[in-house]
Amino acid sequence: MLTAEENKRLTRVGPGTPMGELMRRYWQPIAAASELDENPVKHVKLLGESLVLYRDLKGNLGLIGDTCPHRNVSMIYGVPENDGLRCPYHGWMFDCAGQCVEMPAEAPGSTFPSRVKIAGYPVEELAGLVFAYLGPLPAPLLPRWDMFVWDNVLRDIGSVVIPCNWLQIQENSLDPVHVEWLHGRFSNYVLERLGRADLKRQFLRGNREVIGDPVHEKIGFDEFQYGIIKRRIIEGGSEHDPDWRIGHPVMFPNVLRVGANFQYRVPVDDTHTLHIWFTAYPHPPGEEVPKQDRVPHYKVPLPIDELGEVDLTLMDNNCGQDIVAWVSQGAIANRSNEKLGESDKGIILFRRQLQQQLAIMEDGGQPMNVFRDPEQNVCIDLPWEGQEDPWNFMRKGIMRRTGQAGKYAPVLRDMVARFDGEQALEGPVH
Amino acid sequence: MNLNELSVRMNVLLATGDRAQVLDINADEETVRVRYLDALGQPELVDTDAWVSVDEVIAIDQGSHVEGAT
Repeated sequence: MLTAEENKRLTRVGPGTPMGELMRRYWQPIAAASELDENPVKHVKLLGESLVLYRDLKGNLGLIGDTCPHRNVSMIYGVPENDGLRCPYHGWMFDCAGQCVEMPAEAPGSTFPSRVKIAGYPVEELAGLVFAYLGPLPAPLLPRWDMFVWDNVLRDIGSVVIPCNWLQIQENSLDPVHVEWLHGRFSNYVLERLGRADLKRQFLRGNREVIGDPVHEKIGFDEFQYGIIKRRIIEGGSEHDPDWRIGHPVMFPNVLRVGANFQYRVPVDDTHTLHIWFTAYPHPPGEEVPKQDRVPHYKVPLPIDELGEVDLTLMDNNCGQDIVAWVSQGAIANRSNEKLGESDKGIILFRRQLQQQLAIMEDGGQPMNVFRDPEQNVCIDLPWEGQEDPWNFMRKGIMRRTGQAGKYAPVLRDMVARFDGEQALEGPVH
Repeated sequence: MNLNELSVRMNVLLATGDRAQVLDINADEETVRVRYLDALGQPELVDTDAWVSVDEVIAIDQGSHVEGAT
């Protein structure tokens, strides 16, 4: 339970708010680079700021304010040129720093452009994702987490804007028990409602395949240098299982690593979150993986509408089930009336970590996961449950397409068709 | 937590996220008297005592590690 004031401190993300300032210490993914292939200008809302992401004709990315200061026309309709984005209304042009560099209708030699500037933020591209940094300069290094730089994998990127606050989404990652219920028992209920009671949800836990409900016997959490490691023992398992011995990391402040998948929970504003699924798919040992020219992007459907009506056909998989749970908690979950129990100890640990890192930032220090040493940023390795046998993890676990947003992921669908046949893509996932 | 897992002088983690030391246990009322060791959201609570419901005791404090049966 948090007081209303503490809840506000951890959930509000606009400029000048404590959590907004903490989030601004981190590079945040805002789009897949391939989203700009069809339309090189994209509206982006990040941490309450309304912006425009564009790629100019030289291929450089820019992220600038979304309104031309001349007559307040939206730059979403701007025209990318060699060195910036030109307003469609009167041709004012802005470079990637937001500096006005041309006002075609002003007198020749006018110095007016030099005194007009809109917001402009650093952007970088890595592994097909576009990241933005809205914090104090100099910007830290864009973290090169392992899956961004792995060789011999295929990648894809899914996204959706979820109508709720980022924190209730991230807290879900510190809650192992929900897997047993939401993704186990409830999942089987959904299969029944879909007329497929013959199907039962299956899991890969440790090296075992669990059919039905993955009953938790023990959960554990450890703070580590990049966040918190989450561990579990499922009935019939032991501390030797990778689920406990290795666990999987929740990277501070808003990323989950589960299997070969990163899940970024990027605050759009106080009541919306851009959820990104980035996956790097291991392949069979010895198989040469073709080079990807571009990392494909896919849209993940929202299974719940503004009236709370759900589409069951979108709820046979983890992301559909999770999204409905998160949205149903309210636009911003009211933590002043919650009743936490012993199984919520991971959530408590995470809230403490948030408060501790906020205090470090407010004292002028550098919070965790802000990297400035290039030598430490060549490849930041993280522990993951499949690290000892990535292909087995892929083959028996990920290819069920129940986890993450795998039901919709194009690279995964291709792999399932290739290894299991087209028929494996039919019907509810389970 | 179950009262029988708690003992006086034990450090615990509360549902509020605060760390506290157990000073006394009232088995009949199912309450625990604690002294706050830290209270990140309300620092004025540090070193003060309070009776709290046993339901508010989430875990035995093990520093950077917590675990428990479910």
